[in-house]
Amino acid sequence: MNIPNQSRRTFIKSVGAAAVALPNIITSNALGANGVPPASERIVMAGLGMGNRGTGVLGAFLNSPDIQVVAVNDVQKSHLTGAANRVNGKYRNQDCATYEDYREILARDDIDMVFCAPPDHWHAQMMVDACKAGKDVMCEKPLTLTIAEGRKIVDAARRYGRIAAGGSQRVLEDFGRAACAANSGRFGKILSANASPGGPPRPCYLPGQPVSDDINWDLWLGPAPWAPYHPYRCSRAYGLNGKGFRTWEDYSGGMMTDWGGHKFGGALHGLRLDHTGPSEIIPPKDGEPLTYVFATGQTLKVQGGPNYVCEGGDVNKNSMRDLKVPPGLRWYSGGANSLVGDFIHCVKTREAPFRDVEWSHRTATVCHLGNIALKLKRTLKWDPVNEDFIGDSEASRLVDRPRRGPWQI
Amino acid sequence: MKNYVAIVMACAVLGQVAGADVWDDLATFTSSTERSSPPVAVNDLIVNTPAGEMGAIEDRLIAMISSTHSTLEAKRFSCRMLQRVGTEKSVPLLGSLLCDEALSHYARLTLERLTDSDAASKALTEALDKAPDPLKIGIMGSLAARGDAKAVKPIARTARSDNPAVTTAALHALGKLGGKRARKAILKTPVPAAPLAARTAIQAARYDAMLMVADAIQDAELLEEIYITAPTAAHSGAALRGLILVDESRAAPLVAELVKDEASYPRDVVLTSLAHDGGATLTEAVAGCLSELPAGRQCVLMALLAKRGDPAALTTIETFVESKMATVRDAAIRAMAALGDGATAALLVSQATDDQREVVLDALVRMTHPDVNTQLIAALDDKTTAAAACAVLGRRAVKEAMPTLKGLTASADGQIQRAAWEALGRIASVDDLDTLMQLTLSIEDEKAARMGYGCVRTVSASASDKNACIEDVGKYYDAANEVGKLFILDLAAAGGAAEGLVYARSALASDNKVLHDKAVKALAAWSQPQHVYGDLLKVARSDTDTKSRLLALRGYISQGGKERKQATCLDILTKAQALATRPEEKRLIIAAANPWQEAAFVPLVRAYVADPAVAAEARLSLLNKVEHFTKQHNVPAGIIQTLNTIVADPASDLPQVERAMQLLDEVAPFAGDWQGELTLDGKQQPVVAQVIDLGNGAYQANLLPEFDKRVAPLAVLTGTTGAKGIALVATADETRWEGTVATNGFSGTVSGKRTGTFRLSKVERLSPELGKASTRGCRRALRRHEHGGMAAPERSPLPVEAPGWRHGRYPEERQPLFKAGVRGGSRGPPRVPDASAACPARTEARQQRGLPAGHV
Repeated sequence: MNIPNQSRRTFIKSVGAAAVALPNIITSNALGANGVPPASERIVMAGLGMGNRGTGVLGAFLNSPDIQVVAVNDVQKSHLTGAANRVNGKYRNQDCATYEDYREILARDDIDMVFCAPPDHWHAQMMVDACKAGKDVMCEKPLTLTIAEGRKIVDAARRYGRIAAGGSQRVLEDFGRAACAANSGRFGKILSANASPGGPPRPCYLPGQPVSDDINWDLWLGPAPWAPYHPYRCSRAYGLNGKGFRTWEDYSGGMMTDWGGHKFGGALHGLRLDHTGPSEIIPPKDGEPLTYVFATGQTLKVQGGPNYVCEGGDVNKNSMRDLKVPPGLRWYSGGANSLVGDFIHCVKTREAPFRDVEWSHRTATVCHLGNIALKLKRTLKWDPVNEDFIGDSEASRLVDRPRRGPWQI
Repeated sequence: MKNYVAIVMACAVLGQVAGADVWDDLATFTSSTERSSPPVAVNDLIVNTPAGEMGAIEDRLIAMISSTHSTLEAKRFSCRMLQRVGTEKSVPLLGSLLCDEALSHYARLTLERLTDSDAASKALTEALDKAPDPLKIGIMGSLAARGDAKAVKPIARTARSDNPAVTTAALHALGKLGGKRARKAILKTPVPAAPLAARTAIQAARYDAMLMVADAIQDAELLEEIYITAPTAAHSGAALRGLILVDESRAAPLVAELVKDEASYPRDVVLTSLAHDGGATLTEAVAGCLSELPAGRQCVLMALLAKRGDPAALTTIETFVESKMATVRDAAIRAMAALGDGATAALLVSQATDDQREVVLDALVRMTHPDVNTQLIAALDDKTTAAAACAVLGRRAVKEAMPTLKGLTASADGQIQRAAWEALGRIASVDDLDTLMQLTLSIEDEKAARMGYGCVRTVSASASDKNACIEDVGKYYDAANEVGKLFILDLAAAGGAAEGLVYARSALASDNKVLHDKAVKALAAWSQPQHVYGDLLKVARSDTDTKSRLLALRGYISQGGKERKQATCLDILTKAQALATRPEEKRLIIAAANPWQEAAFVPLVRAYVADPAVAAEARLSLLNKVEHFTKQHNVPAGIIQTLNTIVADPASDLPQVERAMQLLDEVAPFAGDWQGELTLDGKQQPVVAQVIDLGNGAYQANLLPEFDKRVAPLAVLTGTTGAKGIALVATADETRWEGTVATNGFSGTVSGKRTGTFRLSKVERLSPELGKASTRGCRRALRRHEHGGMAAPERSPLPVEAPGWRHGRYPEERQPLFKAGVRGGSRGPPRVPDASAACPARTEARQQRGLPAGHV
């Protein structure tokens, strides 16, 4: 076989030389003072999509002595500058490189891992590209915009042997205690879980406006269908108030995925169903809430909560005082007490992180299934093994969405 | 095009499907910020249309896209809806839009999702040659997403583009399509003349595509080729991972080589794959490298092999249990426990030596293999492993081990004996208490018996029904020796049930002093105090032993303090007060009464204000209560006098006096000194008044010509608090004095034999001693007071003012208080005037100290 080749050295030179900037001053931090590992032993990372959530989580990485942040990316100049200033402020230098196009960061050979927090429609693209580029990657929740994207992310992570994780610190913070109590055996079998993340997104028909100088609009849209610029399309405002990207179905799954990443993740974790999916999704009807039915007979109801309904009664985080993690219930690795700490530990030890992409994908799938059931307003049968609807071609067409232009995964 | 026109006309003629207005609105739709826009209405129409009638909807959508009158937004929306409801019928129209830059993407949305339509594939393929480059990329993506093998050829042709972006996208599409033809096309695709970065991207896309193809067709040869030739570690690592899946034996030697490699990236790929991929061959290959790795990597690798759960690694890992490095040894022990079976448990329990005992025990507790318990029970027979096995069996709560453990309680080895009792304490349930007591009572050695009682205590502590426990254990009271009886008394006290009192009473009646004292202590610590009030009081009153009486009294007070019923608690404390003679018990009573913010407890505590030994505590408790009453606006009678007593008491410390004075100001805001004018029989003269709070809302006002002189009052008015303030009245010598004290002042009239009016305002008066030199000997006396009667060192800072001055110990503290016009200085709101002149108790105290009346 004759594969058109190029040497490793040439490859690295081509993509890295221009991007890597050496610090002007070698700080004591770089040499490993104050109990911090020397720079050569730290995990070198970059932040992709550094809006409000991105810079927030980036702060947690910056506080880890095992991490050295060297670059940030965003298609909005103001976000990019803010993130770079935060990094430089932390390290007291000006070394953080800034990139409008995340692919330039992925091409850098000196970066070990990336954290992604762009709008939801970018998550899958960035994660798959990061895995292909050989980076370990952690992505903010929700992991995906469509069900099919999740499987592609998992496949890429496995193929390239990457530690890849979704987000949601609340799975354990909000549900951890309740999950431990429900699985302690004291309350009998878990019958169902209740969680209420919020509503679905809606189509966006905002009129176009002149594109702001602050943003690369085409790059912001990325794989999403082309649409005219409007500040409310891309604003990072939370909620479904029509003033931020989370309202619009082309860019987000709405609160259903935004909070579903937390709440459904926690519910599935406690039910120990985070490796699979429901077999039936029943939209709201006759006063009953949106309900997921699993092959085990357990249900997840989109109401109230977060709590579990066990044979011995309702169980929430206040149900037990002295809690231990029951055998078999997944938890953060290596004694870590945070999602970021767990991920860093796993990057170093190559263990599977708590929010491994498979489990994050399954959580996101439950969110998407809810949105599809609400859209079609009918009961849907789901095959969690083949990840497709059973006997409903219209629903099956909503498992994935075509992607624009070069953004194929 | 004729077809579309026909469809449009057909729709018009058919009189429209339901919601004709909706379609009209949609046709003119451009943009909206409203939730109820035409697209939303059309969406609802689709949702509510039965599947069998969806054809009419599709016709409307086709008509909308074809129409020259509908807006671009309406066409785009219609394409999106066709993605859901479209059929072969839509293909010709959508295919014609693929080269339209405004609509190509939206048309592709539908064609991509028509997975069972050959026509859709054909339309996409045909458009590939005609579409401009940016649209070609999307079309190739759609063809790849559809998985149509026929698309390989046209895509391979497109891949020969001069545009690197098109080539990259084509390679990606070929990779997704897979198959041998795609593989051939990928390899043959040339790299166009382009900048280095673009060429690098094409190479990366080529290897990624080849990886996809190789994985799909399980081509081990290709994967190995990629592993060797790939320019990046990411691709070579991914190729190796693919090879592990396709041909593990072929991958094993490469994996072994990589695990030992210093370069971290490919090694990381292999290590990460350990969580998901491969079988025993891979496990053995990786485990075989362990001995050649540095210690840190050995630990990581053993942890990963443990998580992988393949016992194939066990034999190799076992060799590291003897490692000289503790970290490696510990990692090996944990990994063995995760992978091992009963035999491993037997091996590990023999390794529970001092320096690694806890690691071994923790690992054994976590083992899940079904043979583990059997092996651990067998290990109880070996003296060298029995203690460790006891500990593990206890933590694992293995009920089957109980018979053997009971036998070991008689072991000659103290360590084993203790371990056996501890294990029994963890394993046994309430049902076993009877057996455990019998076993314990049969032991003659006191030390060993204590272990048995400890075990019974542990089991009892975990029981939900404490009464049942005391019944099971208590029946052996008579048969038990002294140690046993003491234990049963302890257990009865911890349980707190009334049934246990029989043993305590028996012990109280005993001649055995130890038992008697223990019974008193048990009653004092009884966990349900309501059962023991009577017994404790009886002992406190009538026991012949002084120590027992005191212990019982103290227990009675502390148990009473836990009582939740106010009347019962008050009754207990009142009875205790009659018995308490020592300051220690009095303090206990004050402490027990302190949480009760009820007027009924005030007299109980106030009785101790006069007792110098506990006066400070009593004052503090009273002040707490008064503060509570003040906040609740429910001040009981007698509080004013209590506060005045505290203020006037020379033994009161400064913070208490200040707090009492503040409370007085809040409780009785009108009490104190007033100053103003009196017009009597037409003659104007100064007048002052002392308003005194008599309690229960009653007040007295002494009208005087001036302060600080012993003269007969002009009038002594009395009255009570009303809605408008305090209404005061006095009648003497056929003259009636009437006045009202309110927030705006003290005013009134004189009528009868004499006539007139008066009006006074509240004043705050300062000490006339201010600034004077201190009295002789006062400094030394104060220093002695400060130091508990002992002479203080000379450097001690002392006040220089006259004795009795109370506002601050040091100049910097008092300074703000005496600034002209700044009452209270910076320490808080202006203080209400000093009420000292109106307080008989304080007046008396001042007189005792030789101070002028009306001043502190």
